[in-house]
Parts: sequence; structure tokens; C-alpha cells
Amino acid sequence: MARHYGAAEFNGGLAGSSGLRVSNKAPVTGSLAAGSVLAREMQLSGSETPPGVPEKAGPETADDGAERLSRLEAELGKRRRPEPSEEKAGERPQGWGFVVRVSSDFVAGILVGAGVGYLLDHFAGTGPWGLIVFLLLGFAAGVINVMRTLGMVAEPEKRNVPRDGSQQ
Amino acid sequence: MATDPIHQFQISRIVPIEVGSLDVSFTNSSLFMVATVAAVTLFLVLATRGRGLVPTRLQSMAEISYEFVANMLRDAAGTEGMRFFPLVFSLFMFVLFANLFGMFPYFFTVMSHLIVTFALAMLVIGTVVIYGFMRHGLKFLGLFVPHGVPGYLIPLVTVIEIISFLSRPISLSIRLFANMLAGHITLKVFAGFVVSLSALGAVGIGGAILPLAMTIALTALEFLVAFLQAYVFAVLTCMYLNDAIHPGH
Repeated sequence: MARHYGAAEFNGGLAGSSGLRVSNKAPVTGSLAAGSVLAREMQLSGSETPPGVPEKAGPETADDGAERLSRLEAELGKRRRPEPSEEKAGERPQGWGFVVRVSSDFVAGILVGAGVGYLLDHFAGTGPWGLIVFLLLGFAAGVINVMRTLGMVAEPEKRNVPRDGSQQ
Repeated sequence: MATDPIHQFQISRIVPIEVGSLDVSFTNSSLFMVATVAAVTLFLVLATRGRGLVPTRLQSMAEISYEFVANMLRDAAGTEGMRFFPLVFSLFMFVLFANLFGMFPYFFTVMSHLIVTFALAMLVIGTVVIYGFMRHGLKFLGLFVPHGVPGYLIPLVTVIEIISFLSRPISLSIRLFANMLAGHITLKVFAGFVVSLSALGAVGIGGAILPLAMTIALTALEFLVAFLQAYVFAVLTCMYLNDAIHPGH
């Protein structure tokens, strides 16, 4: 249990700045017209080259557009991977927003637990026990929610799959 | 009336419509939702009309919002998640524009009503559940059974995980709603202080400077919150969609 509920990765915050820049050194510049969106993406996020001015296309000038596009996509994917989910790193310092966030996570767990318990009692006629038990379980769920928000417990999917980037 | 901080959230019927016993009137809330959608559509259509390789200012604004949401989705849910891009982008733009509309004086803040945010959250969770089952079948339920838990604890942990999952739409909606509601009430209360203090004569007007400064600061903060909450809503949508796409094993 301890291993799988272990801390989520926090090293991401540093890797972000380097990962963000899809650099102008990527060997894929000729395809501005073909892959407009992807190409524009590169252009937006870092390249200082004026748009439309092709850099030296290198040895791959003879390639057809489709192949180059797919290579571009692979290259972009490789560079994008190390970006962290900004949410945990970026969310922390916001005082008021953070308070609402954590408390809503906690309250929601309890509300749902109480709701489930109440409905169970109402339909199954199990006396007060459904409410009692599910209120306690809802409390536990609220605590889990909060710990996930704080990054002290891994998200469900990260817990099972080692995040080595091989999931695609 | 002018100093009642809750008055701004009142729903009023503009075009009363009754279907049977159901009240489906066109309210001021509906009006601002329509205005929000219209504004988003207008902005994006106008911005992308030129489709220049060298973007104009308006076009680069549209491109930045595209990039922003696309990167967010790709980070959280991988390339496969991009099929949900239209959903996430629409949600983000709708919430953002609705929040920004709320910053105009006398405008209605759509997101300050729990039912609106809850409907949006249910849309997200409904998508997650339906897509998760469509794609993974019963394996989607593996999301609720963590690996490496001792056998006798599995029922307990599973129930807790299910409650935790069910609480997501609620916490998602409460968060957005509470932020907008609290922010606008605070703003209104401090602005009300200015009015009531300045009624006291010269000393009061001098004293009213303090709440006035506070109101200005809060307005700036509210703009930040308006953007931040749209962002948080979209980010959490992405993370939940990720659960539907990769529900563990």
C-alpha cells in the first residue's frame, strides 16, 4: 500500500521551462504550408526565425511532405513529453483559490458519502447505519481527495502505471 | 437595494415560457449564456478569418488560446486526449468569457449559480464515464481498485475510491461557483462601504478612500480569479479525461 500510494512526482516543475521551447533547431522547417497548425505551433512557441523564411532544410529536402510531417510530429512529441502537468506546480501559491480548492475537495467527499448513505437508507431501509458508515467513508474519501490535491498521494492512474512515457 | 450584495445574483424571467408544469423561461442567466456563446463565436470567427501566416493581433490571441488549451490537454492526457480538444476548448472559452462578462457592472455572472457549474461538471464526468466504458469496457472499473492493496482491504478502498470519484463533479462545481460567488459578494460589500461612508459628510468621504482602494484591488483580483478558475476547470477536465483514456490496469 505504501508503495502505490506514494508521493506523486514533483520534479516536473524544473523540467518545464526547458521542455516548453520547441526550439528552432528542430530539423523540420520546410513544411510550414503543409502542416499549418503544427508548424504555426513551432513558430509561436519559440522560433525567432521570421515565419515563411525557410531555414536550411538540411539533407531531407527530397523527402515528401507526409513523411516529414510525421517526423515533425514525432519530434514534437519527444520534446513535449517532459512537460509536467502544470496544475500541481502552478496551483500552490494562489492563496484564496487554493483554500477554496482544498476545502471543496474535502467537503465534496463528505457530501457524496452522506448522500450515498442517505439514499441507501431511504431505499434499502437500513436504519441509520448506511448514513453512519458512508459518512465515515465519505470522510476518508475527502481526505484522499485533499491528499491528492496536495500531491501527497498519487493519482489513480499514476499509481498503477509507472510514468515512463510509454503509454502512447 | 443598492447595498444588498446578493441582489446581483437574482434570476429574473425575461421571456416566461411554461412547458406543462415545467418553467423553461428565458431568464437573465440564459441571456448572458447566449451572449457568452455569441461573444466567443464572434471572437474566434473574426480572429481566424484572415488566416494569415503572419498572424494579426486578434489572430494571435485566438492562436494563443488554442495553444494554451492544446498544450494543457496534451500534458494531462497525452496525444490521444486531443480528440477531446473541442470539448475542453469550448468549456474553457465558455467559462472564461462568462467570468469576464461578469466583471462588467450590472452584468449577470452566470458561473455564480451552482446549478450551472454543476451541469458543466456533470457533462465532463458523464463524458469520462461513457467514454471510459466505451473504450475499456469493464476494465474501466479498474480505476477504483488500486494495485498492491492487501486483499481484505480491497472492498474498503474500492468504496472510498468510488466515493472519491463521485465527489469530483461536486468539488469541481463547488470550486468554480464558490470562487465567483464569494468574489462578487466581497466586491459588492466593499463598494457598498464606499457609498454608505460617503453619506456621512467630509469625514466619511475621507474614510471612504480605504474601501475604494480595496474595491480597486479586488477588481484586479477578480479578473485574475476569472481567468484562473476557467483554467482550473479546464485542467481538471483534462485530468479526468486522462482517467477515461488511461484508467490504470
